[in-house]
Amino acid sequence: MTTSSDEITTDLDEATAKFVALENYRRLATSLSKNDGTKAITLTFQDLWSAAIHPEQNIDLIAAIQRDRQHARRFDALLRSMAVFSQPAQAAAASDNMDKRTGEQFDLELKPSSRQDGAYFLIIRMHNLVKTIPQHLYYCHNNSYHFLSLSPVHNGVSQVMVGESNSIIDAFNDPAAEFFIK
Amino acid sequence: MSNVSYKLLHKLALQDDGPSNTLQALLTSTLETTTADGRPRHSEQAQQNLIKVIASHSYAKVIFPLCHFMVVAAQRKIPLYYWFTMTQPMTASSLASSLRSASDQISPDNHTDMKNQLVITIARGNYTFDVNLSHIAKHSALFDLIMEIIGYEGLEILYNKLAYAENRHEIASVSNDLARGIYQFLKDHFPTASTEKKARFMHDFLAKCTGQNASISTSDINDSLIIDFWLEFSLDAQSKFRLFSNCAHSWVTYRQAIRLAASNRFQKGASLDALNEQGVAEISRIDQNAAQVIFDEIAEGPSSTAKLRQINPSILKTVKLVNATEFDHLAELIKFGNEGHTLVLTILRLLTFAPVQARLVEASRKRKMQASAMHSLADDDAYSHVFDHINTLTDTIRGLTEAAAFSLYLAQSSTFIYAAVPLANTQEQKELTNARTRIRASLTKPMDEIILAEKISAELLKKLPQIMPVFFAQLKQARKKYRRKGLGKLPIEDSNSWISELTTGIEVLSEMATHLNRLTSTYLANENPHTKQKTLKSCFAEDRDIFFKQFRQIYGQAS
Amino acid sequence: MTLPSLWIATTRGPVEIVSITEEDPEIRSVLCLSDSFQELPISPLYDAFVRRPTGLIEQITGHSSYRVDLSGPITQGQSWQLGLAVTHLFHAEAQLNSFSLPNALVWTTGKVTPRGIVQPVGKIVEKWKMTIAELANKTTKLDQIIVIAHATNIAEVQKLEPMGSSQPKIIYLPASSLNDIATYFELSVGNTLRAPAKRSPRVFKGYIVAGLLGLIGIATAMKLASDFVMPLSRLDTEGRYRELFMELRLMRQEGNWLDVNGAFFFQKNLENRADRLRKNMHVEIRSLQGKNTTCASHKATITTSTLPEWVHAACQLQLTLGNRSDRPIGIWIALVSHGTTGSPTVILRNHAALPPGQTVTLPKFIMEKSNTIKTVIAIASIMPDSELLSWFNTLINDVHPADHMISRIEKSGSGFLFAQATGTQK
Repeated sequence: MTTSSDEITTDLDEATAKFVALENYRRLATSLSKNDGTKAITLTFQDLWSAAIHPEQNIDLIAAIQRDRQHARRFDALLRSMAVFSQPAQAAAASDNMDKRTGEQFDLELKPSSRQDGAYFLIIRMHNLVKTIPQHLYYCHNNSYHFLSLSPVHNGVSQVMVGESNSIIDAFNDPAAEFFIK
Repeated sequence: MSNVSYKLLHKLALQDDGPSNTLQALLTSTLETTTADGRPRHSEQAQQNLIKVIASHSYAKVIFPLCHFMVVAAQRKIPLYYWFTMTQPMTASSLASSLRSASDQISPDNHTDMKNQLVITIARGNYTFDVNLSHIAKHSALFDLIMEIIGYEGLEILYNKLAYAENRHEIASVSNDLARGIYQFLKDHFPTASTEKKARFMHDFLAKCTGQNASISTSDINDSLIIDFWLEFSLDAQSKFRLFSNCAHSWVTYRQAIRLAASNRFQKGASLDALNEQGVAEISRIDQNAAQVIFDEIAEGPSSTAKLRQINPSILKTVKLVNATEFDHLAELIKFGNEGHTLVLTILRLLTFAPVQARLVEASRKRKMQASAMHSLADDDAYSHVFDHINTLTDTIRGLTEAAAFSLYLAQSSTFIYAAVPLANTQEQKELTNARTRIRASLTKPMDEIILAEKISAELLKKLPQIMPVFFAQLKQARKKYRRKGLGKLPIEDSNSWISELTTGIEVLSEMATHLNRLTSTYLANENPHTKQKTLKSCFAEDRDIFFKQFRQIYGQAS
Repeated sequence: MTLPSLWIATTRGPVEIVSITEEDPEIRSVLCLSDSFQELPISPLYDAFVRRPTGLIEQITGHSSYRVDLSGPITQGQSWQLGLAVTHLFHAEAQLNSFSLPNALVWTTGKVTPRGIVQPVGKIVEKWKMTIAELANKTTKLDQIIVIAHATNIAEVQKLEPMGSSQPKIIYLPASSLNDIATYFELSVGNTLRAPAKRSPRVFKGYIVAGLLGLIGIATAMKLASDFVMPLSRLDTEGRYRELFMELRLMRQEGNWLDVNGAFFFQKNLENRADRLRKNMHVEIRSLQGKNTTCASHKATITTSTLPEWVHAACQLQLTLGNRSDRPIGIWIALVSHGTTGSPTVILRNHAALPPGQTVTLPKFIMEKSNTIKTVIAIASIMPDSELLSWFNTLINDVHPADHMISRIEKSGSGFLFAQATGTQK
């Protein structure tokens, strides 16, 4: 019951290879079309990106990213490449409590409020102007990233008020911590 | 054949291993990514290309030009993350404008020639290459998946390396690194070993049947080959060919693969010539063509299925055309695509014996014997019944098409003219054309073309019973005979979606009718008294012996 | 040191000053929520209110940085200025002499200019109602409430609260300047206020040196005048127009000959720039031909203050912006429809940063057929535009923008375009 009206001839091996491709295609297409929402949840680049852009709104997401070593590594690379300015780790000889961290691109200074109630002012002095408005100061301390929203920059200076329990106080005093601005 | 058996068959067919959950999640999120304003980030074609490239393991060919694109981008000091966070969808022109705005900011690069917006020519030392942004855009989804697989940190290292790549060799080495990474990942997340094993069995079987000949043609895969193959491989409990339906569908796919390979071989010849030139660009152009061929070929089969899905009774809102049972039967027949009419006997076997086998499988799983499964096929005219069944289905579809057309007529919708008129006989179609010419000629004043067309349609609809009396009577008859929800009566509300569902319905139903027609007419054409064509009855009797004997061997004597 | 209780009236209820602390001058002044270390977003405005050259407080107290803890948030406006100025007066006084107002509550609302002039503010009724509600919750005994505001605002409060009828007693202190307040409370810091406002000594010294040099010749003087304007051009470059205008006004009113001239030339320069930008900003409006026959294809470049009548037709329109100057400019553009009642509909509001010689075509939009007034407003600027933007946003809501709003934009050296089509009768 066959007709040869549309007979096409080709190499057997090649046809077999194409058969594999077609079967694979159907398997993929079927599994994608049957997507019933019960699939594994995987963090993707878009998640890393929204965590980096809006850290305040994604505290849980950032925690989830940093729990997984592979995602943490990706997040680290992304944040480093997003930095407009960065300040590498300080020379280890620095004393226990620094009040100033200097860098080629910006300096940080931490001043306690004279009210002595545990409030600190972090003063960020940028040495160069940028085209975009800096949004965040962030830092890598003990292998995890933390973010602080920057106040409007005036004459290259921004200032953030923090409480003494804020993790930036420890980071500031740790020469190994790295700071970035984006 | 009961509807339950179809569902059972379908369930059994899906037992092949798919991609891992991780890959599935990555693919889904890549395909569903949108820009901030909600537009899809990747074009429909780029989405399709991603699946095709993975299925055919042809990513290396795509990664190579992609690396050249990354050379251009990295040299312009565009951060890698930029490409994955663009506010615009990944089109050739959005890529071009991103590159342009970056090159405005840095010093003009003497080696770069933006001779035409979408093709960028770069010279590195004495290596000159073209980057075709349309090609990159067509594979944008793969770019995303590569990043997810390799990781941002890994890809960034390679990206920065590409910024300083000095020659073809260095770019190729990065390209190979990437391809290796993807290969490793897919090995774990999309194992193809079982498909390859299947393919090898089929390959060896074919080689044996065709006498170790290295070439193969579509006609080699015929009804008898398929049954012989099944008889040989279904006895092995580990075999993927235990079910006759799997076997039949695999061979249909193999026929499509032959067509695909034949068209690609032609392309390959062309690209080998191109290698002698200095044309990497040429290769990428050919790649694109080849990718297009894959697309068209693969799309051919599923597209009928995709079309059919448009008239799925659970999707249509304002009208019901085919019912659920008819829909499932149609889906089963349409699966054969363009191979169907040459494999009519296989279709008969599939429709008759596959449900029996499905019930046997189900029974053996539940560890109870179902002796009745095979007794239900006592009727000697089973194949004729299948034919009758297909014919009835064809009639129903034709009737539904006409009833739907009559509904469009009732709505006095101008879509009637192009959707329904092709159903009429040629004589009456000619009458309609004449009537149209007459109306046009009777107009004295010049008029806007769109308004004119509407006017003519309205006029034609009004006079339809006079112009096309036979066709009109036929439609009216169909309306009486085929009463389905929403047919033959103007709806109270949402008449626009009603009209659009009817219009699509007519189009899809006509195509399905053509398909079914082709199946039955091929058979009738072959039932030539001069050949020793067996009658359906004897054919069935013979097949029943074969299948039942095999079933007993597979599932035990008790069945 | 205990300061008198002081409330700053807001429409969300009064905010009490909890504490005031002098900080290291390197720290920018902050307003924060008491006990939370949470800085309020208006802190930069407070810093500008404190610190020289724009700030008033440093002129009075000689100190440039403070931290003020508040009981609740203040999110916008300028009516906090009077309350904080009074707090600073009290704070300065308390450091010198003992100063307290037992069982009294000071209620304030009002703006204060850099020269210490008190100006009236709005929404008095709401603020007072919220105050009454809050007073009902207050447990400590109050003998008197001292209401400090501009005379206009005092009159508004009095209308709501007829004198003598309330418990505790309300004392009204209409103030036209901080001086009035210092006099009323017999503050010794009042002396600083009564002396003419001093400029920063550093700047002042610079003026003397420059003034001497200025005598050498007109040409040199002109050049020096431009040197004077260095702080001005910095304000201009950073788009800090409010401070710029203030500085210009101070220079003209209180400065020496060079200041006055410098300010004059700087102002001229800005006006010329505004004019140039206006000419170089190319705005074109097109009506696209549609299937509907009533929509014909039209094109018009907006050069006058009128828009073509066809913008009223229900057709698809499209705007094209062009930069004909030789430097990059940013253009804010809006197309607004103002009906006779209700709020205006912003049909399109867009920003384009255009490199020299570039044009950009904005997305198409369909105009609804109506006889409302259609307005196109555009502002072109070469400087940061955050202040311009807030003016722009105010402007687009107003069918007949006030002259002073327009002149303010032009004085900032930004190109301004305004074109209207009034309602059609068709």
